[in-house]
Amino acid sequence: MSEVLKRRLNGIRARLAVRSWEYRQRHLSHGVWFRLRHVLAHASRAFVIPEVEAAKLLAEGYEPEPVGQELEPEKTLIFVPAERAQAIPGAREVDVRLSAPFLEARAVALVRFPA
Amino acid sequence: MAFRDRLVATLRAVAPVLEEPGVLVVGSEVPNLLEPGAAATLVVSQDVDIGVPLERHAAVKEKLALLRGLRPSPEEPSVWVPDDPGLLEVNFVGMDSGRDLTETDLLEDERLPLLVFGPLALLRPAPVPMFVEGLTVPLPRPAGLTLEKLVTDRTGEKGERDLLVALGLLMLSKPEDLDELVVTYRSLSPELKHAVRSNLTILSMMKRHAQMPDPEPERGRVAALLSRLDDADEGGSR
Repeated sequence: MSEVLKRRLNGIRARLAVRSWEYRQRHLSHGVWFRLRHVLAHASRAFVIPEVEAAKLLAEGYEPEPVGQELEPEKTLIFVPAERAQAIPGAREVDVRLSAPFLEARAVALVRFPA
Repeated sequence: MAFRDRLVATLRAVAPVLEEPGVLVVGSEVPNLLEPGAAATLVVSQDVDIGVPLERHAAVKEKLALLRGLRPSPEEPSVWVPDDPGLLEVNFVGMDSGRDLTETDLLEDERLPLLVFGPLALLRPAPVPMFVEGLTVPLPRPAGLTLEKLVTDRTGEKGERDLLVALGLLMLSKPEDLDELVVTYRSLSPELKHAVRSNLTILSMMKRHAQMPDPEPERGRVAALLSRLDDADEGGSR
């Protein structure tokens, strides 16, 4: 048997075993990164906003994304219309990815891709 | 020598194998070949993957003697390396349409051993082959190959490049290809559905890689597909 192919095969099988474990853990804390990426994947834009402004959005009836409450410290993630996001005092647009500015923020307003 | 010229020269070199029924060009070169005029501007890759159906393995081995400018790597005989810098490396992989998608195995053979990848069972030949500079190039339907890239578990640089190949395919997919992708997605196991959606979220967050499709301007396309898959999922694999 080709040793190179055998090593590749063993590597593939090991990764599949890890993936199966991750899948079984998806509803637990291990799955939080998928849920966070899933929220961000639906966002065309992201704005880091002051916590006081996030509280105002919640008071207006906007719903926080549940995954934000799973993080430590908790992060308020709220989808709002683009015009509302741009009107938030102190809003600072950041890249939509798991970058330092996003991860350090306590409150982020997100704009959903158009349906 | 331009990359496209090397790709076409390599396809010409393996033409005897491509004539075998059921053999497909798979992998990262497919988006290049699906571009108008097979322009080969999307993905710069240094190899061509050839999918060999297990039932054609013996016939393909017969054709190997006809290949020119390539020879099997001594360490890894399923990889054929070029003698000529104008050619790309060729990787032969095994396809088994009846295989469980999560099972990958080794077909041992002195002349042409093959890793038989379970996810390649998702591939179906396109109804009409591609014609490139007088060559007939059999390609898979985009939907199956896109899903294959999204369920295949790979890590690191190779994994990211595979996701960008999936992106290249999505960029070239027609509405009917996306419909087919969603229908096929429904037939996957919950674990594989989760893998597809998880990989799409990773793709959406990825930075640009040199000589690969840029994910940033395509995030909306990825989000639209993810929404369709979310809807198709009915919460089953979330």
